[in-house]
Amino acid sequence: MTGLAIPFRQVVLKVHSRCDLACDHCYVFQHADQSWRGRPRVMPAETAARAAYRIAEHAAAHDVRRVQVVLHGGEPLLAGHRHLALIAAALRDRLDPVCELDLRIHTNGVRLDERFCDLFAAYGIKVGVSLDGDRAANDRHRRHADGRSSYDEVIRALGLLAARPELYAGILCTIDVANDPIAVYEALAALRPPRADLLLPHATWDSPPPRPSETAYADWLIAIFDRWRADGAPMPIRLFDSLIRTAHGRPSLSEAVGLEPSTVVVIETDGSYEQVDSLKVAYDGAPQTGFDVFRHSLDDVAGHPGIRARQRGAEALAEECRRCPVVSSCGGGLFTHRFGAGSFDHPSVYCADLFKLIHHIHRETPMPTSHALPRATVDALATGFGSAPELDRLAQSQLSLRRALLAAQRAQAPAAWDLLVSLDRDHPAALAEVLLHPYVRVWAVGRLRGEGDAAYLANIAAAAAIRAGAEVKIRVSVTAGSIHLPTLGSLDGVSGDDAVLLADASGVRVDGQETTWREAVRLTRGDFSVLLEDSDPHRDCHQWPASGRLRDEEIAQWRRAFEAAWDLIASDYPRYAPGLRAGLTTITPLMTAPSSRPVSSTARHAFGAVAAALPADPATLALLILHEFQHVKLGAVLDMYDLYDESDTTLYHAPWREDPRPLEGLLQGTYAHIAVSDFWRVRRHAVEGEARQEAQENFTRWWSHTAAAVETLTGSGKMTPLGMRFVSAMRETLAPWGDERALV
Amino acid sequence: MTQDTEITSEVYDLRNIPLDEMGSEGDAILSNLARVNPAAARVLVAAFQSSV
Repeated sequence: MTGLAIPFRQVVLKVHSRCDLACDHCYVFQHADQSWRGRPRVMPAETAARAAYRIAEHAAAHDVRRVQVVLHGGEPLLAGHRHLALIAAALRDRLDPVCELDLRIHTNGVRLDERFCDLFAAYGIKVGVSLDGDRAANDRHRRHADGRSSYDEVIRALGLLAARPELYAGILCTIDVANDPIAVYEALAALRPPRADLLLPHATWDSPPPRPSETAYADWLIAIFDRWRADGAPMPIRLFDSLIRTAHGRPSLSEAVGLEPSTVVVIETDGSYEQVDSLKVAYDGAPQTGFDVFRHSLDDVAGHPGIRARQRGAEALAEECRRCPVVSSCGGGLFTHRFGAGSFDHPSVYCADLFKLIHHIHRETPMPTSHALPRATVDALATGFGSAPELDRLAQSQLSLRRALLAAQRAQAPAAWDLLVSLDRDHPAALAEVLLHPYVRVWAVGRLRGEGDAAYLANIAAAAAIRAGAEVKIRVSVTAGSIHLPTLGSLDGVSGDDAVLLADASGVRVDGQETTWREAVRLTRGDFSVLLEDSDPHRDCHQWPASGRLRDEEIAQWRRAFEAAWDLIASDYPRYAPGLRAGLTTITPLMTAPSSRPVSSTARHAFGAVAAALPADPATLALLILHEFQHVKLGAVLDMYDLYDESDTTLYHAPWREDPRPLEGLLQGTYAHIAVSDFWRVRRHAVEGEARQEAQENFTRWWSHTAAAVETLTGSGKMTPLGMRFVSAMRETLAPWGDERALV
Repeated sequence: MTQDTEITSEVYDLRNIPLDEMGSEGDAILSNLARVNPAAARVLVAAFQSSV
């Protein structure tokens, strides 16, 4: 063990130590630390190569999957095209085989030209540019040594980047409260950067910032925040996004706020390692570590007390900060800003500003972002029907639940998790489609009980990757000789409990094994299509046993039955069709009961799936689908809302059963039997003779049972106010059917 | 922001929270899940109950 707690994930590489501007607020040249004077102007190629080696060594040793390297200065473009290309090549050569390299450059933009842009495109370098706002704001500090404005040159550079958005990282703006905040905001917003950041000027208690009023910086930032929110947050602003995130318990995006450990290290042009760059404003030599890339690894640097001090979260903060109610958002501010009288054991010199700003943001962005349904949506579902928008809303809340359940598995299969994280970032729709497969949740819940195979996380990831069109090579779970990829199909004939799955344009395979790909079976009628799920290893979660893999003739029977059943639903039960079309994704075949009586089921964790044994006639299949899909809908509603007192242990009479039922069972049965009553209500007019009489009897019986159960629910005293509203809507659906009981 | 005409649920909207920022592991699974998503925790408890 090295004793290394937290590896570095961001390296600032100083490729040039001088600048072609003479900004009077620059922390490199204008503050206490003057070490730049003794350093090489340009980082030599051999130093860059050594730095690349050290970074790769560190990433490999600590399994760091993604490293950000920022080419920095001074002004890094002063290094010139050829030299920057050499440095970028050295970094790519060393790091690409080891980890994902997020390579960036931060420039004042003055020298940016098409040739640089071509170079950045060739090496995958994203570009951040400094600009302090409108012309007046920018020219307040950002001038050439002879006093000339840099504004037009920077705007020209931003124009180049706007034309090549793949290179454009964003704009960094240093705050000066003498500038008009709205003018600064409007100038930045007009440039439409992919991201902007607002940086407090570096200052300490020994060298405090200009402060025309007690909370001048908070007031300046609040003016922008309010306007930004009113505009609908047209561009991400990292400081604001970080404070919103930390207010809701999520990590900060910036070292300027939040309690996340710092993972940044700087490598100067001479190869010396330094701590965070902004420390240059504290005192001469403040960032130095005494280590360099030639003699020391990054592990050596990670042990430096100054680095560790920025990784200890709240523990490293002044006592006053630790007691502060907004400490988790503020995090004591930037480490540098705490310095005073020889110590960092102070609140930030911007403490009053941060406190006021954070309070304002917390008040304006109340916690979250829970799924909510319009009252009209809840009412529509409560009637027993519900159309596509209602079902889409339910599905979206299911997606959130599944993401939470999936995240609980992150430690169980790290490679799969990393793939899922990247898919989530780059192909969220493909991932969502797989996560919404009914039996993904069944697997995830099973894992929390200690059941199932943790490696199945890789099957989920692989399915999403294939859906996204990505090439895949990942070790996946094998069940009974098959690799199941949810929503896609199964690779059969695989030996062992796991295998390395390969998927590319030529197909899906396991090297060295004779395998057969079986596409998932779909039942399709017109533009409506569902999976016939006879392969998922987690489908056997229903009240009745799942069937085995269907034979071709059985699939053909299912197809014929489904087509006829769907035609019946579409023509005779049109109020159910839109909801089914939006929410029914899967039909799971069950074993036929020995008595041949109709068998069907839903499972609470399998939103979107209805399970059934193939019944004798399509009308019965229609009935089973209508009946079971009611449970699907209500289960999703119950995931979102408490409709009844869950602590109630009373058992209630359910007219359709001999044994008394708990309240949820009664509620579920009643809701489902609305559809059953409706089925027979309509059906008696569509058939003749004995069938008609049977339909009539079924209608009157189910209507009476259901109406009686509604009254039991209402009188239970255990329904919540929302539950009472729900049951009331159920009653409103049923009531007029009571007048139709006489068959005319 | 939730409108007056909407009914807020117990399910936090996790669709836009990156997966790598909402994890939980080891012994913290249950408590973290309960914090992030009470409804999922409730489902989970139900799963445990039905397994014993």
